[in-house]
Amino acid sequence: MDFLYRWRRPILAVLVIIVLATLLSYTAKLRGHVLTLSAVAGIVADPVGGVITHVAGGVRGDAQSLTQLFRLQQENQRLKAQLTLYQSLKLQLEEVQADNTRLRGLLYLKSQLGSWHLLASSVVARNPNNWFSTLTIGRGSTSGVKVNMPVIVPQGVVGRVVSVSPTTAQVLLLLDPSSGAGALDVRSRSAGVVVGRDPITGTLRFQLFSHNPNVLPGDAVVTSGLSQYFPKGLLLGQVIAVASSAGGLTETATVKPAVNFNQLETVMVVLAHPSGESTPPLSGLVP
Amino acid sequence: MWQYRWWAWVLLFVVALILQTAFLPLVFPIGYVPNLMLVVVVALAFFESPSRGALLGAIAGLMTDVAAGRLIGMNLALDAIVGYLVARLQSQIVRDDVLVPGLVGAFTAGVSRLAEWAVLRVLGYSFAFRPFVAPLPTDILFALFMTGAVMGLLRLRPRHEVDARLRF
Repeated sequence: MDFLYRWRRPILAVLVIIVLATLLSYTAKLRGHVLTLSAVAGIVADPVGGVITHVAGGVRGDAQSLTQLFRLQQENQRLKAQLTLYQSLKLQLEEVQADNTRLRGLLYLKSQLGSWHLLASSVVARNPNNWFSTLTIGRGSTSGVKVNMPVIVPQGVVGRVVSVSPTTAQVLLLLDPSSGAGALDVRSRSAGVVVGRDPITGTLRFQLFSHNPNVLPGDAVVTSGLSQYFPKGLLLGQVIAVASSAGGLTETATVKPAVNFNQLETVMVVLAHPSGESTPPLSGLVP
Repeated sequence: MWQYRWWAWVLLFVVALILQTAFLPLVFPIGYVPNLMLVVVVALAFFESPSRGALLGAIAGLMTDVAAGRLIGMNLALDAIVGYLVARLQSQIVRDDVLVPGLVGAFTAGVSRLAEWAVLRVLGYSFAFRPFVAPLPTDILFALFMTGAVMGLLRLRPRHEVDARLRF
């Protein structure tokens, strides 16, 4: 036993070598069985390997996603800032576009009425009392504005100047109950007077002169030129209703003004105009 | 304290009148523009004696009438009455800084518009009643919120509080 114990390592080494040599020589001939064996081992090992690969892949993917997330967050912030900038630019553009349309209209009006002497002016204030429809414009006697001059926009008549200071002028709107303009129904040629009602209903009363005037809803109403303030042919509005007076002797039409009095920013004061037939800005003047 | 000086009232009414004629018409449609001058009159009259309330109302009304350019005396009378009544009322009620002034302002705005209709009717302006009262909700809501807001914004204080602060 002492011999075996003393020579245990060389004996073990020799045995291992013998076993290995035997195994190698044996398995060199039985390749199919070894492959089966290895497939059997794979049944156990592969899922574990798959799980490990999946987890490792997931971790790598998560790490990539996390990096991407930070990148996307930064990109998102940058895009949001750009969007805010573009939105504000869009608003500015819309404002400029609206101004452009308005000013184009005024320019077109001026070119259409070539022989007329028009003065553009901005609206600076309204009447503090709701029931008196007047507004203040930023041009006065130093610019040549005088009392009773008509004030128009491309859409039609606004009113007339009622008082003037050196730098401002008060314009009495058509809506005011004390305003009045000689008017003519374009289709039937019936004449009358258009007066304001109140600013709430926002309509005008067209008091017709003739007994049977044949005025119909939808008719355009223009200035007749018979009143001392307004030249002939300027658009006042459109008839929306016709009613007979209590005795049935006269007819009164309700006229919707062509001008939107809520959106007046710039108006034109007619400083001078040729007498006789004018070129009426009937509708659709804005190119 | 500036709020008791007549020149401060005039300055305040000038600012209110500019806002009333140049700014509020951009926000509210024509015919529906609320009466800011009246709101300021109510806010100031809350800290005044009846006679001074009537005076400040008369100043505000006169300025409105001059700016309106017609029927000079109508707003003068109406606003003076409002100033007088609010100043008289304030000494007899318990009030806070927001709700009660708002309610008084709203009530005043409503009554003032109806009174305006009656005065215009007497003076020959035959406005139909229904369109005339159509802006009432706007007037009332505006005064309800703005009276307290104006008082807070201007830091208006009762006279006894100001006197006490000056003593210390």
